[in-house]
Amino acid sequence: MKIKAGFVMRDVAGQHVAIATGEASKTFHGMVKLNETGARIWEGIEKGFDEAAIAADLAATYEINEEKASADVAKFIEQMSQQGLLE
Amino acid sequence: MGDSLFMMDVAGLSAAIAPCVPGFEAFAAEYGRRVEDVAEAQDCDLCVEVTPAMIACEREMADSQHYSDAYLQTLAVQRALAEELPKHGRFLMHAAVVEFGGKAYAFTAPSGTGKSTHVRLWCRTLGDTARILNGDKPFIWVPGGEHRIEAYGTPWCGKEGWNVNSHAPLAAVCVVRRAASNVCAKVDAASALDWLGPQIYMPNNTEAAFLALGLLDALMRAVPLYELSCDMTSDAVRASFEAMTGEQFDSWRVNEEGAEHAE
Repeated sequence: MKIKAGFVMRDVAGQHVAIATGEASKTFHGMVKLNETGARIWEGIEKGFDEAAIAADLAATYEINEEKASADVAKFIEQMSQQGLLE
Repeated sequence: MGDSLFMMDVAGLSAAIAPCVPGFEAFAAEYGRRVEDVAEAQDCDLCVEVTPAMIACEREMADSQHYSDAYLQTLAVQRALAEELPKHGRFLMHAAVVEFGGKAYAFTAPSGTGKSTHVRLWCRTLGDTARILNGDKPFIWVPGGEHRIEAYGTPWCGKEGWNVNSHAPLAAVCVVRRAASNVCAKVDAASALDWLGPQIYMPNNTEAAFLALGLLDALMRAVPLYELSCDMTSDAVRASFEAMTGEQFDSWRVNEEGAEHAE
């Protein structure tokens, strides 16, 4: 699992924003805004973590149970995939 | 061609432009001069050598196939500069910038919304105390730290040709929306991102885009952001002028300009 080459995430005005550059910008236009959890998952993928590791990190960071964390991560990754953010 | 260079001011930076078709010198005359000695370009901050491929690329992206090479060359230079500017703390913003009282006020909106009409109304109603720095594509410099953010005129200025080779501290950024009444209110950065983000040139280069997002962040933290709902009358200027400058419109207006048709 990898974020497509060319995507950049950065905090802008207190929000997590991702945009496409280079090749990726030809198929993806505009800006994605991520919430706190979404940004954390994004960073996890960037670091090369798998789904389970990201869920564990989420559970520990936000003090939620692992089951909920796993469900959140799976849902978010599904959304990222549908939007063409993953390769 | 290719044997002479055009040395140009670009938002306080020096740029060496090597055009590949004639016309660029006339286009950017207010911003630089031709040099015959290529050695003069040695220490410049930015270099753009226009190639026929760059012009072909602009033609492919343009909304019409009928533009001249000279015009497409100006777009190619703009793009090449806008790609590099974030590395120098600057970026291109799609906006019309009006200067009043030594400060710059930027109006942004998708093309066709009426930002040109609105800044023209500023000039008509406020007379010589207001002038348009740039009608379409100003460059913004974010020096960092406590330094003021500056808006710079550029020769890329829209069909009206409004531009001055000058700059002023950016006092406010305002999104323009058409409405039946005139209201201008401050908005928080979170809600402004949706309209301001798309009006910033995002470089194709990943690193430069990362820097551009950082500059946008700095701008949104430092400069007050407004939303203007307006028609095309002087009441629209009253709303934006009073909200953004804190001055009384009636103390500054010089004529009773009535309704005006949008372009």
